[in-house]
Amino acid sequence: MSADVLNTVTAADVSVPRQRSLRGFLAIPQGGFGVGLLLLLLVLVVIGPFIAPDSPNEISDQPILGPSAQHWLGTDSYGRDILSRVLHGGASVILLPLVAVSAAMVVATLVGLVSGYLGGKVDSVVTWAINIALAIPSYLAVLVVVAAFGGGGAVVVTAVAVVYAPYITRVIRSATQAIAPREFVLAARARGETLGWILFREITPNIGPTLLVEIALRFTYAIMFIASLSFLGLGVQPPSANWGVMVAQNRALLLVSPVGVLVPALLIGVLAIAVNLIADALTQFFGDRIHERLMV
Amino acid sequence: MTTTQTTRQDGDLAAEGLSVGYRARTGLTQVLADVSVQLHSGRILGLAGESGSGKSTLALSLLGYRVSGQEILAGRVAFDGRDLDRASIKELRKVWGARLAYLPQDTATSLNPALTIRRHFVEGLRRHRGLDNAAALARSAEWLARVEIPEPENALHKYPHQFSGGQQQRIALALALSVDPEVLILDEPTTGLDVVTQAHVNRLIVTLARDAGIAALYVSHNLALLATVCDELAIMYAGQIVEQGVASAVYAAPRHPYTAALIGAVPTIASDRPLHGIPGIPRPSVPVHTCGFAERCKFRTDACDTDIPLVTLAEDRAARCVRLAELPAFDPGADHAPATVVDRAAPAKELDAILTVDNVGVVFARPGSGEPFVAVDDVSVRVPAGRALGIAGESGSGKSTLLRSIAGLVRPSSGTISYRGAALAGTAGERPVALRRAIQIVFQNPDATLNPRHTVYQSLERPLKLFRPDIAKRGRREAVAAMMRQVRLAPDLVDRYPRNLSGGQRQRVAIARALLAEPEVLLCDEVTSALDVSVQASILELLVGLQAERDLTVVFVTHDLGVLRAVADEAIILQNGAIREEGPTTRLLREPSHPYTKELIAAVPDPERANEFLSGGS
Repeated sequence: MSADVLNTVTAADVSVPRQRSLRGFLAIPQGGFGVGLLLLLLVLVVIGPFIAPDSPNEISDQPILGPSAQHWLGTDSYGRDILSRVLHGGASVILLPLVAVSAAMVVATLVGLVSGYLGGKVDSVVTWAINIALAIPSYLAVLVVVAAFGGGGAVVVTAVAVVYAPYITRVIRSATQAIAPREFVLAARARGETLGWILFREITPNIGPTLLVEIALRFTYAIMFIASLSFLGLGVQPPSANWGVMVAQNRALLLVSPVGVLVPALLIGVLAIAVNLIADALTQFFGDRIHERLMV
Repeated sequence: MTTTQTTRQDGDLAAEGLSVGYRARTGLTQVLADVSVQLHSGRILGLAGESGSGKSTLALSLLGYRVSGQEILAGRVAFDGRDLDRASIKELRKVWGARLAYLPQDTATSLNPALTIRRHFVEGLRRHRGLDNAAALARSAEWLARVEIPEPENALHKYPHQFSGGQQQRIALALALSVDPEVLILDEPTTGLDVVTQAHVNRLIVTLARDAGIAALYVSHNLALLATVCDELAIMYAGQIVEQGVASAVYAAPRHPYTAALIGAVPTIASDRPLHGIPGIPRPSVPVHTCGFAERCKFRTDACDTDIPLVTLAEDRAARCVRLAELPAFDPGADHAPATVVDRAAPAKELDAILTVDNVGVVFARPGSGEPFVAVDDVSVRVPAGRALGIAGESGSGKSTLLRSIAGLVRPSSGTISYRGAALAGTAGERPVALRRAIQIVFQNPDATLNPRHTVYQSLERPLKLFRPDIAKRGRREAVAAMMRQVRLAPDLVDRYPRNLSGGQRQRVAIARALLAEPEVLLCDEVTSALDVSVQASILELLVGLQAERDLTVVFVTHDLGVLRAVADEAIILQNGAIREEGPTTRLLREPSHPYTKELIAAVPDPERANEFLSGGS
């Protein structure tokens, strides 16, 4: 009888695991398109500084020239080559939000996991703090911080991280609450596993999809947020080449030489769209799994 | 050889040689082959089979209900002179609800939470019976009274969530019957309910359906229940009917090996017959040129590899087996294999208690209201070493909470739990590692018991790492493989993720995970309640065997008295957190003294006491 069991429960009777490969992800239209766009922009940002005809702050010609063979996008009011500034100006647009979101994510994941798993008083305090934080308008908070500490990359990154952390904490917390009463977590508790093991080895892998979607979504918001702050003169400071800063500086020339505003603005838009498409595709990709894990 | 008769009376619903398949990107999968069933007015046909046997597909096909991708490959569904399988949605809407009623398992799908009970009734009665508001209301109240809903007039103005699960199912039954349908299709209507509630709903279904002269199909995986409530039985396997006949006759003397195996897997409270699982899992599609059951059958020969017809043995009796002529009718009561239950000579009282529960209470604060909820109320139990203690009760009786407090997952509000005379700390984290190793727990839900992101090996390696420093890192893989063989799992499943295992396999992994710690006490929380009957039997067989082999002490929580009888030497019956009765299981079930125990026992369907069951058991 035991031999029978061993022979009959091996391979054929078990459903084939569904393929969740990168190819499967790219097959989703939003995924393929988003990844393609993002790769294009990354290529532009990475090799841009090397192929740029001039250095970004070099006054290379007369000011306010229209597009020509020599200056494909013309020059700005200081006579700097706009194309060169565009090619140099992407790195900070991508990097600052990335750092801000990563920092927010680390803090939020820790707090969300602990508060969602432990519940009780810890959770009450965290929830209370989140609710207060969410009641403060993001722009206002960042404006106040920047007004107090001055603008610049580091301050903006910190401010954005602090503003976003409560939102992410809330998502992680509720995802954790859905997993924590599951029997495999109870089994781990009965074995006497440490808090660290339960949070990071039992729960975290199961909220991975939620985490990933949240990162992508927050990244989109952060790109727009920091670019807006740079436009307002609170983020990256002139004379740095940054698409947000360029839109701000060149907007005086909008009617004379619109490319100086349109190209960097468009690139910010495309970047945000690319990341947003990826977030959308991630939701679809993990969709059934997120439902399976969280809604039940 | 003749196949079943295909004559048909008007008004009755019949499937004639029905073959159904599902088309997907991967191709066509046939799920029903040449199925002929007939429903007769005033009679209930029971349809039994394991999950995936095609019984729900047949039930829905009988209604003319088609899901996307479903194709009728042959045959037809005849109702009152028309073919339901070809009827337009407009025609179907005229018969659905009016002449063909359907009662699904889950009232969450049959009752709309946003509508009052009155709206549910009035809609159907006005549309299908043309009653005006007042007449519809009177009729609704009358039907609610018939399904024994208290204060029917009042109940009409309530919402579904204001009723208990059993009441909701009774309301859904009243709703289905209030329009005077000719046919009623019941798909596992009582599966999610408690035993006593189940019995109540089943009694109502049978009485009302018979009184109204309804032709009913009752789909269930519980063969004992079907044999108790139905007139005829059809057993399905791999999309074919393998046996068909008068319910009592099929249950008492099955002719097909699958029917016999299925009956042998159903735990009963009446006899000492040990359970036997059916090895393997059901094939998902219709067999071609072979018997569908052949790969799991003890009686298989080379002759089985052919297309096997359903042979009529007598009027009202047919079976689909090549060896019908050679094999006598099976006797499910007799048992050929030696009993796995070990006879225990020493009375429990004289054995040392390995686990003692003294006056344990568990109280939960209810958020919002001041009144706390008492889950476990002053319970004291001794668990003798090497024995199996069963804890039985309905949902909400506190049985799982009691077990979890022993496991250190719920801190008792009062009382002490001691292991070998020494008091245990309230939570597992506060207990020394030796005690955590000694007490292991296995959970109910095969979908949640294993971390979906850990492979079988990762799950099984953990207890070794924590509790077995004697096994070197290199030896772990071997120890895991050895344990997998012990719980009858093929060791090559070791790198699979839980989603690629069947429910039964996951429970075996969970048992292996507990046993790898080399526990003294194994706590089992309804470990088989989510499994098919055949899988349940093999898991119980395994547990009983392992217990004897390793001299384990087992504490087994269950709501099923048949399961209790199969695994437990001693038993306690819990109700509302308190012990109602305790004693040796066999005596407890044979001579219950507490009224609650008697009520529970009367609620267990037993084909030999069908009349008693249907009349209320008292």
